[in-house]
Amino acid sequence: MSHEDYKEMLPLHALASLDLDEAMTLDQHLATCAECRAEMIQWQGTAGSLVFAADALEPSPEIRARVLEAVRSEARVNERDNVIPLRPRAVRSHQPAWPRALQLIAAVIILGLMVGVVLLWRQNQSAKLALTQLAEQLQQNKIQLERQQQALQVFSAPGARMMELAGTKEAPSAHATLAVDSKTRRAALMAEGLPPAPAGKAYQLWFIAGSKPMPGQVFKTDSSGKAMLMSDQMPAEAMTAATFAVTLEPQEGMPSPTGPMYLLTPG
Amino acid sequence: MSGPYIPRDTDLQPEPAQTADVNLLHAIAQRDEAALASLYDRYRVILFGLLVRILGSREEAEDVLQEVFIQVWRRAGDFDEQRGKPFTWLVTLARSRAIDRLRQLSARERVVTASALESPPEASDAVADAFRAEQKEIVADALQQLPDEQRQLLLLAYFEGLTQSEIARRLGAPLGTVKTRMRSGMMKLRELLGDRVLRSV
Repeated sequence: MSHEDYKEMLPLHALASLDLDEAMTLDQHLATCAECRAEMIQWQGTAGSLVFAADALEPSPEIRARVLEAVRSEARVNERDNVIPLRPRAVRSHQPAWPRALQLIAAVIILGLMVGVVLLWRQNQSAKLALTQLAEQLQQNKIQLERQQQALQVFSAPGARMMELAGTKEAPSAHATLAVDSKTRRAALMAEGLPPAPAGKAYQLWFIAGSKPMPGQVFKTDSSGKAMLMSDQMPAEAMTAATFAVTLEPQEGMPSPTGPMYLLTPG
Repeated sequence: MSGPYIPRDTDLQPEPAQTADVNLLHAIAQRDEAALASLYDRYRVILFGLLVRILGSREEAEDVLQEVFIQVWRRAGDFDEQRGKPFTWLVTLARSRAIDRLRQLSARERVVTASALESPPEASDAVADAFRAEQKEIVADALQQLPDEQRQLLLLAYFEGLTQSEIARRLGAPLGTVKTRMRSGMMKLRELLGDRVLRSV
């Protein structure tokens, strides 16, 4: 359809008398044709003048009031509508703040950290235990060293009496040296070749004063069968005793010998 | 309604009234209820006459009149003075509302009035002021100068909201003839009303 065809349709369009399909086609043309739009305005003026062909009439007075009331209530609704955006949002987003993958990664990291903390804690605990054991070992070594030093002091003390103890038939290869310092009333025994004492048992030193054996201290050997005994505050009778012996006894010690003899001063 | 139409140096609507209308529509767009009341007071009589003429019922016409001014309230911001006069916009809005209502009513109960086929009635409304009476006279005079078949077609189209095809069926006339006569009638009317109509309404 040409521009002139559309122009011919304009006066009928102004009367709204075009059939629907023609009206829609013309509206499309009007959207793109400024000249036709300008002429359409003129035709609408001409059509509008036909309103004066109708008799003017006065409507009922209440129509005015109804119109004004209607727009007032509409304004109130609009005001109410305008308040709506100020309400707190009732519906929270169901979308997680973090994507799911990030949540998973975060969970793995947290789990890893927790495992790490537990491992470090356990490592710390075992380190503490080892340290405690080392400290105990050190303490024992220190005590043993002190005893050995004391024993050596007894052995090297001027005027100390030295005695040899030989192994009996229970331990033929056993041998011990005993030093007795009467000035300090200390005695030291260094033994070797003794079999390890069974569980619950220990070796006990005896000395014979007169005809009666007097109890001395209890000791154990190391894994190689060696032992060192340091005994201070020996009874005065032991200072002059000539016979010393070592027997196997219950580990808490006995008032008089009950077990087999392993070492004995020759005499 | 006697004597030939003598062109006078008057307008169908004076310029100050148009300016006032534009200002009223702007105020209405700013939610000014008083401006809406002013616009209603200014045009209620002519618009209500149009609506009664189209609908043939005061009751229906009052309903539509109310609808029209509520629409004006809602759509005043859409009014573009580059695309026509406020009065034309208002009349076009009222007429299309009335025709919509007429078609709804017709769908239930097809009542065809013969009023639109009659000659334009004489200006007898006592409430019309002198200015409106003058406009009425100008238009009535122009219509009287149209050939009867052209005038009838324009009034059928305008007041009954019939399309060209509906008019052709109603009158038992060929569609092409109806189109030609309607177009001729509009061109003659524009010529008779002259520049005054083009500038004003």
